[in-house]
Amino acid sequence: MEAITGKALILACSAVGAGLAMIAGIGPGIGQGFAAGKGAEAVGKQPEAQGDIIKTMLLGAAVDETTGIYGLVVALILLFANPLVGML
Amino acid sequence: MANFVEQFMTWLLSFDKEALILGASAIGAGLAMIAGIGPGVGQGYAAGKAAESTGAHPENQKTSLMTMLVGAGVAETTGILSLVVALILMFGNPMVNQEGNAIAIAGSAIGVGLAMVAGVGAGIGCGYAAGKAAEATGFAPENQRGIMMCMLLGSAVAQTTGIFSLVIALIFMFANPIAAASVGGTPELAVVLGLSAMGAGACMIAGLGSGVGVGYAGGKAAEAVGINPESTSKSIMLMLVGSAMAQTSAIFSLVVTLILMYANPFIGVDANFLILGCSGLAAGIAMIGGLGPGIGQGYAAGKAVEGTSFNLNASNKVMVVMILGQAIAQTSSIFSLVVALILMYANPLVGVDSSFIILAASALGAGFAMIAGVGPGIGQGFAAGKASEATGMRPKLQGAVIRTMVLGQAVAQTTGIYGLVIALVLLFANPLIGLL
Repeated sequence: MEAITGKALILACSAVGAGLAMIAGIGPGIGQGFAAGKGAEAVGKQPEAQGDIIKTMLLGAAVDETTGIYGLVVALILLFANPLVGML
Repeated sequence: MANFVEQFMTWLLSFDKEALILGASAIGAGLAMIAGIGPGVGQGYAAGKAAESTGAHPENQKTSLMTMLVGAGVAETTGILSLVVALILMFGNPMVNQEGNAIAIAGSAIGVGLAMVAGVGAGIGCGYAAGKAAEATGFAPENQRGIMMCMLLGSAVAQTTGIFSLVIALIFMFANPIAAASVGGTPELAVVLGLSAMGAGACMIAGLGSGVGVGYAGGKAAEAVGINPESTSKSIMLMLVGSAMAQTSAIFSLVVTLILMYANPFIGVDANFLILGCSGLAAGIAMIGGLGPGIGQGYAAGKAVEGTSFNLNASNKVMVVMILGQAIAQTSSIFSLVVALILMYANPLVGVDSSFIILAASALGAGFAMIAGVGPGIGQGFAAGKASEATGMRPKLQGAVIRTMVLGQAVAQTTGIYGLVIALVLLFANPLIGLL
């Protein structure tokens, strides 16, 4: 078994870190689903307001997406523009 | 100087075989007891609902107390199963006498503990059903028979995943195929098998979702029968169909666990053992994503029962919405299954020429990324539930309700897709390898 260099260790840890960052996706998934559920419920009660309901739902869901995108950005940085190897 | 993986292995192998297995058994016993969270939460909910019901209908205190105690008794099951497993590991440890490599057997002991964690789900789910049944018998003691029947039926289905986990734990303890596969093998093979055993145990944790979800459906059926006893047969039918859907991801996990135990695809593969072992562990970790769909689909089933009880004539339309919504909520666990199967049968990391530690870590990272699927699974299930409820109230609006549900569910899928993309990048287009 070959030796593990410092660089290899950083890159390996970056792979694990990228995976862990994606767990943030749990939040928006639950939240947007809640919004979708409430949207469907509201359309059932007031179908004439469907357009407004969907607009509000999508706007809220877009705000909700942010933390998931933060997780994605950190994972992408770790993978494609890893600043840590440069500090070695 | 030997690298830390070699040093760690040498350190592990410097102990007596018995010491290593007993140490891992102690960790396994502790992990198994985490299941106690479930009955703790569930029975507390049941107690609260019974107290609330007694406040509202003091004349029915006995009936509702009795219902609560029966339900709480069922909710205790997985806590007791875990206690038994922990006691076996401590007082009658069968694993020290297994033939095979100590590292493989130690991994199996930790796998036992991880598998039993799934009991959290049945504890919460059955407790919810007990609470709803206690509440329903409080306001409708004359319907106690039907209410109890729904509660017990839902609880029995909710226990399934806890029993799956018990079976896996018993196999590891008394007829361990992982230990058998390590007999006469190298220490490297034992590491692959030990990590696969931990993956197999982690994989079973997905059953937690079905336990919670199916128990919720049982509770909603008990409530519906209390409010409208004429809905009994339709409520039970919808509850069972919805619960069967909610079991899917737990069955996916059981299949992956059994593959890792009995048909381990990493045995005999010519590649670095740490890459193979971490791939086995990662396959199990990826499947944990399935706990989301289990919870969400169970919620959908419960709300479909509630929707139908308002309007018995709408039951077919409600069922269509429920199944459609549940099918979409299944997506994340299918993503997880795909990644697990890639790791096991078409592992792209095996042939890559790079530092083994990066490749092994990439496998683990891919597994962790798939846990993101928990969120979309729960959220899409919530949407499916609310849409089923709305369809029950206004069946004529089924089309508009479905459109809104599907649109919202598509948005809720995004973070699960991000997780899948990162996992696939780590596996198939790993940019870290080029940086070395």
